[in-house]
Amino acid sequence: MENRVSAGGARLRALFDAGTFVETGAYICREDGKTPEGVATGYGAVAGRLVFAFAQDGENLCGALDGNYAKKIGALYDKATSVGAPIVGIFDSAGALVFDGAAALAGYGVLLRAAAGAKGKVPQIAVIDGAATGTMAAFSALFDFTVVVRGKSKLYVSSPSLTNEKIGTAEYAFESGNAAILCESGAADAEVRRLLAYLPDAAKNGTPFAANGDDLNRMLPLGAKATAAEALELSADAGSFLPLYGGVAPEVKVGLAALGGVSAAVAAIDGALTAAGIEKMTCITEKAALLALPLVTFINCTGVAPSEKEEEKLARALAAWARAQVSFGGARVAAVVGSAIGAGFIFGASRTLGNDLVLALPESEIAALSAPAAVAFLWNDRIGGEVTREKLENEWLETRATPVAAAAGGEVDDVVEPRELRARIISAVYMLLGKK
Amino acid sequence: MLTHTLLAMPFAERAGYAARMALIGILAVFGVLAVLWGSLALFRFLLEYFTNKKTAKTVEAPAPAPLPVAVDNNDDALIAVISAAVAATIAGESGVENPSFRVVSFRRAAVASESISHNN
Repeated sequence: MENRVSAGGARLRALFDAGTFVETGAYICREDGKTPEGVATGYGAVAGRLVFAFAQDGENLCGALDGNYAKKIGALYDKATSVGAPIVGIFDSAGALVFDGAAALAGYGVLLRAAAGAKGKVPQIAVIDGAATGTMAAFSALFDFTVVVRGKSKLYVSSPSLTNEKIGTAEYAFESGNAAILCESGAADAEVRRLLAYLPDAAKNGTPFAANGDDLNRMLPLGAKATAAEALELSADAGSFLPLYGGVAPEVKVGLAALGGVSAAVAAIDGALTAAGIEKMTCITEKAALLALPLVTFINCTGVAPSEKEEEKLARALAAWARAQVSFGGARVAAVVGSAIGAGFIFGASRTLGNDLVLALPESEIAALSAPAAVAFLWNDRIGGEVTREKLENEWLETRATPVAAAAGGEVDDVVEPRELRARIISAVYMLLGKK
Repeated sequence: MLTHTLLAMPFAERAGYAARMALIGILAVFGVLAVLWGSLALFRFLLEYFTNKKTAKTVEAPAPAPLPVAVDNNDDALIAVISAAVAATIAGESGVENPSFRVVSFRRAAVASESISHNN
């Protein structure tokens, strides 16, 4: 009997633990009844856990989609969602098989419907290991995380020849926020394995946990001027922070991390938010909601960056972030590390937008206006003689913008020592694990 | 008549008569049971006697030629030989000595709410 192993199947073997991959539908052919179908599907173990995967075979009619191709992927999704296991898609397809006509176009509907239906049920990771163009790019965008490979990935909807050379490259996908991870050739499978380690088998199973031995009560060497990003990296279990979407909005760092062994979506905001930064926060909030992960946010935010160029998007972006927060039903913890001014506090650390617990460091600044703005707008008439602007700004910081003042009004739950921040955050996450 | 005679007796005589009658009844019942048991034992003895006689006659008859069937006491060796032959055939067909597939029991991701005790 012929033991058929497709090129896509061989690609998938590299992803799975040795000898555990089982290819499904390997005998399904294209319309001619001879050529193997352009996608391999199957399941196996990744770090011992059940994972389903498909790999498009770019050397088989450029990985072109046709009716059977779509049915294979649709069947894979049915199995993965019914048993509750993650899906990995390895993309290398130039589009639909033109000669298959409307059947191929309908196949796109099968893919889009399957991926959209699986969202919030099982994690989906896309690896752009070649081309993902046209509607295939939209299909990949339905995945929870996209990994692109430098020099190899081509990810675009419209033809790059109509625009410019950079569009469609891995770097472009990463810098535009379409890809969560940019890796070197040959490293994509390792990135997938790393991502999977933080994700549940199925969202309904609840937040994953993996003990890692880091001391829950480890004291942090956080200084008074520490940034939110530093607080995030120090608070997470040692070496566990996996940054995502690093190609866009540098003022916002987001990713996955372990906190006392609990997988969590984490974010840190340093400085003024751009529209892209707000979208990045919306993105990580939605991911946390879809994947049953707690969301921990570290705030050092002075509000929204004024920009004429971005003005048209800002209100919509903020509204989308607020909507994502309000619809998020999981555990949320916010830690004000530095400033939380205006929209920075409202959107970043507000209990009214869904944070379950808000902590603040003693030196943090929480107010509707920054000290210079407050003095300029409210106390400008007091300046004169011995009363200088600097004195008034200090007075503002010491009387109106303290975390204790915010805590007195109930908007901050506790003011904590910087060195205790990790322990306090883990305690909060543990406390919230039973949240319904 | 008997009823009148009994009624005419003093109480002690009546009681004695009743006791005798009860004893006779019990002895009659158990006597019949003993006879039945003895009959059954006799039948069993006779049956065994005749059956043994028949078997003895069969043994005495010339033994039939042994049938060419598998010998039970060599089961393990036989299975090992067959397994080796099957393995060799499979290896020959696939062209590999080592199997390319192995069965694993899939591990489920641990869930935080079940793994963490609030006593930590």
